[in-house]
Amino acid sequence: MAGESVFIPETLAEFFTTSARLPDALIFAGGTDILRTQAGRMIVFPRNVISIREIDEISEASRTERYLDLGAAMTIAEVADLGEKVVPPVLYETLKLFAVPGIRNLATVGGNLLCTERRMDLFVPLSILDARVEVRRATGSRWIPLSRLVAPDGRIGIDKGEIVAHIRIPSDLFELNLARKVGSHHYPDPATGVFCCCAKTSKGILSDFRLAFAGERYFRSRDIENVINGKNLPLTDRDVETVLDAYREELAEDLGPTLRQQFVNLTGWALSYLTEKGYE
Amino acid sequence: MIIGFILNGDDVSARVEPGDRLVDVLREQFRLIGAKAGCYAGRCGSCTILLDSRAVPSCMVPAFAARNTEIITIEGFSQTVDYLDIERGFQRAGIETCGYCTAAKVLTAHALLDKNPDPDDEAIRAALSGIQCRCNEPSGLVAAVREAAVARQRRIYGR
Ligand code: FES
Ligand code: FES
Repeated sequence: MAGESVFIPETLAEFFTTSARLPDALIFAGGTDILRTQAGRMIVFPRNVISIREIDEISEASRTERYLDLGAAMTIAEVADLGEKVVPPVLYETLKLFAVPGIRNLATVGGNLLCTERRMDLFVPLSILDARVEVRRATGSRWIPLSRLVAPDGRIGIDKGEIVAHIRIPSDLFELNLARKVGSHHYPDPATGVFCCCAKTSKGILSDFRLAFAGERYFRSRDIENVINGKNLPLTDRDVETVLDAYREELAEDLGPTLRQQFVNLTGWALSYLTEKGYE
Repeated sequence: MIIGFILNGDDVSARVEPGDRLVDVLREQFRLIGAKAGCYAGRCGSCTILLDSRAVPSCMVPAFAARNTEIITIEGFSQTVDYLDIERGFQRAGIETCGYCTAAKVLTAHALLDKNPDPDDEAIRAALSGIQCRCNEPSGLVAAVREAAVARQRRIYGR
């Protein structure tokens, strides 16, 4: 391990100075994704590592009437500790499904979102909540939609010298909030996926239906959501079948047969809450 | 690099390499061997410690990340009055232990009761879900933590 160096800035200003000097350094937050794949005694890091665990500016949450801001270096457990009155229900449910408690105490929100091999747990609820991401650089900041943070091919949408600082979640109220995990709950494997759905109703009409799924692939179709948005409630069996058929067709190439069937089953389960049987 | 942190109530420092895992630093530099190095991948829980009051697998923490934190190992925790509640609960539930995951069970139970003094079975099961114990059934461990919760309530509130 000779030659490796670790830098531990305590402020964003220090971080930017260090990362300007070491543009190829690994940014280390919770590290769970790096460490879980290295079962050897010593951890293998690239030559330079910048640990952001001690930067308070990105380790706290704040809230206004319109949104909740999460610091990117907050751990999953710290977000859960904000409580179910503060954290949107679909996100709160997903936090409870996240790995095991010891890992929740280490893994960070930003690290989970920036996993490039696969879309991890938080990507799904945060994407259907239309979260935006604050990307900071030494000279300022910009906000991007979550979908632009990691491209489907795993490319990261931030440049060298930039850092994910906050995740902003609009304070929308949904009547239906569902989250489920398939495959291994505790450790990600190819069969692991997270499914989230939320819906708003207004005057007996399904006004805003959102649904996404992610594992090794991420899937959300606003076109299919729009097929069902505006329908009268409760939904009829025909409405449900139309949507399920649309997902089956759309997913034919995207997911393997097992995940596709699980996704369709979960979608059917979510929609059942909006039918006569589940709605009353 | 040299890092400073609080270990079982004492200010300490350690010289660590970037690739060192906290569990090994605790075991080798400080001779605190209650946390066991098992899977080195966050799967078995046997290396659990309290890091800033939270139960974490110390194999999943690079030693440098311990800088400026407060760490409690089973050796330090067993000197506290809080430990007695857990010990009593485990004894009452008849928990047998080979010692391999004792630190994990005890520290995890304490961290749970610290946040939630009266957890239901589901919360206890969830809290213990990261510990692979070969000596005890999950139901026995749940009963032990419930007993520990009762012991703690009695000690603190006299009921
Ligand atoms: S050795 Fe740390 S969890 Fe197994
Ligand atoms: S007490 Fe033996 S493995 Fe847990």
